Amino acid sequence: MLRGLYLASTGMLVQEMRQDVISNNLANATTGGFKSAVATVRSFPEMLLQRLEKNQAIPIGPFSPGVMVDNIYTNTEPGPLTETGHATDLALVQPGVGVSPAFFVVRTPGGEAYTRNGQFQVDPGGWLVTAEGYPVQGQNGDIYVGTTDFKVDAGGRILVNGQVVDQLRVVTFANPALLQRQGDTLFTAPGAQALPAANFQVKQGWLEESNVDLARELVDMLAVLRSYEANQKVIQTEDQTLAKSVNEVGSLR
Amino acid sequence: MMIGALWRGASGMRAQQVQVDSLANDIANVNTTGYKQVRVGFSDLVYRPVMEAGMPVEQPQAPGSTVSLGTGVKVASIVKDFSQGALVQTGEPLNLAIQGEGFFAVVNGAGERFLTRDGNFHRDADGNVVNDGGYYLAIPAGNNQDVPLNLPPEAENINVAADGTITATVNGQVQPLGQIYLYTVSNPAGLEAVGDNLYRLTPACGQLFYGAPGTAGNSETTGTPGPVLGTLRSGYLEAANVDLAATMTRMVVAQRAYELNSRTIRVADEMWSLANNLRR
Repeated sequence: MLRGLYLASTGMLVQEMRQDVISNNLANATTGGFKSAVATVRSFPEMLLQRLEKNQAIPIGPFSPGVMVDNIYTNTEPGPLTETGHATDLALVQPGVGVSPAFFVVRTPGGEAYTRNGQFQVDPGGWLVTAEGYPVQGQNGDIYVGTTDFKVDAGGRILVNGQVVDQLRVVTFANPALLQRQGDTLFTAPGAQALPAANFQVKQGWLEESNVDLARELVDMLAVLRSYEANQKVIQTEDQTLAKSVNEVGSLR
Repeated sequence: MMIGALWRGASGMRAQQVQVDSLANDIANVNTTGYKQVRVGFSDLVYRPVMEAGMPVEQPQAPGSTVSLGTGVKVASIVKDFSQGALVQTGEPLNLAIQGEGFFAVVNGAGERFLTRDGNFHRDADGNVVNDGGYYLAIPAGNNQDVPLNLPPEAENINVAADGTITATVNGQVQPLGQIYLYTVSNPAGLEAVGDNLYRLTPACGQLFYGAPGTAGNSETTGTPGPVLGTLRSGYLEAANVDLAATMTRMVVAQRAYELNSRTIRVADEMWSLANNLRR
C-alpha cells in the first residue's frame, strides 16, 4: 500500500519536470536558433519481490518502484529558415537528414561556445558579435568587419568591399549529445572536441527560427496534465484504501 | 518546480509583450518620414542542473554531461533596422532622400549634433537650411565643428545633385552654392533614438565618418576610410521602412506565443491545484 503511494508520487514528480521542459520550450517558441528539449521518462530499475515462507525466500515477481526522468534530450534538428535581408543575419544549412548539426563559434568569458542563432551585430569597435556582445569566431579569431555592409558567401568567407577578411569557423561534433546548454542560445562542449564542419552552407540574410513544434508541445502539455491528474487520483485512492484498513477494519463499534 | 513553470510562462509573456510594444510603435510610425523599424531578438535564459536530492533523475551515462532545465526566455536585443525605406516624391528641391547608407547631420541651438534620415529641409528666415525642428543642416568645417549651410535669399531654382552639390540661379546666373555631406557611424545600432526622427550619437556608435554622397566617408577623428555613403535624391522623402504585412504577421505570431505561454501558466496552476488537493 505505502509502496503504491510512493510509486504514484514519482509519477507526479516526473510529470512536473516534463511540464518544466515544455514550458521552457514554449517560452522560447520565437527564440532564433533555439533547440527544443524533451524529457525522456523510464521506470526505475525493477527489483525482484520475494515472500518469506517457512524461513525460505520465494520469488513472486518483478516490481518497479516508479518512474524517473532518464535524460533531458536536446532535439538538434534544424529549425525553419526565414528571410530577413539583413547582412548580419546568417543561417547554417546542411543538406541531408540526421546529420550532426553545425554551429557558429563564439568567444565567451567562459571559453568557446557554439550557437545556431545567427542574428549577429557589428559592435562599436567594428567586430562581428552576438546579441550579448560575444565575438563570433573566424579562422583568425575575432572577425573585424568595420561596417554592416559586408558579404558572406556559402562557404562562410566574409567579404568587405570585395576583399576576403576572414572565414567563419563552423564546427560540428562527433557526439552532439555531449553538448550542454548555457542560455543565450549557446552550447558548450566540455569533454568533446569541436571538429571543422564539412558540407554546410552559410546563407546570408536568413535566420534559423526556433525548432519548437508547437502542436506537439501543446499535446504533450495536455498529456502531462492528465497524467499528473491520474497519478493524483491514484494517491487519493491509495489514501482512501489506507484509511479504510486503518480506521474500519477491526474497529470496535 | 511548479513555480518554475509559472516563471517560465511569465518570462515568455513578458518577452512577447515587448515584441508587441515594439510592433505597435512601428505601426504608429508607418507614415513617419525616415522612420526605421526595430527588431526584437530573444534568447533563452540560463540552464540549471537538476541533480538534486529527492529528484527522480538518473545520472547520465555520458561523463561530463548534466541533465539541465532551462529557465525561460529574455529579450536579448532590440535593434533598429536601418534598411532603405521607399522614396516618396514631393517635388520640393530641398526635400532630400538618401539612397544607401548614411545620415544627415543636424545641429540644434545648443550645438549638439544629431543624425537623421529625415530629409525634409527648408530655408529659414536667415537662409540657413533647417529641418522641421529648426535644427540646421551641418556642413563640416574641420576640428569637429559644423557650420550651417546658407543659401542666399535671392537664390532661385535650387538644385541638389546626387553627389550633394548645390547649384542655384542667383541674379540670373547659375552658381554653385555649396555641398551637402552625409555622415555615418561604424555601429548604427549604437545610435540613441531621441524622437523627432533624430538619433543622438553615443560612445557605442564607434567612429563617425563623413563625406560627400556617393564616396567613401572618412573618420572624423582618425581620417581612416569608412563605408561608402549613399547618394541623394532631391525632391523625394524617404518613407518609413515598416513593412506592414510583415509587421502584422509578427503581431499575430507574438499574440499566439503570448497565448501559449499563458496556457502553460494555466496548466502549471492546475497541476499545483491538483497537488494541493491531494487530501480533500
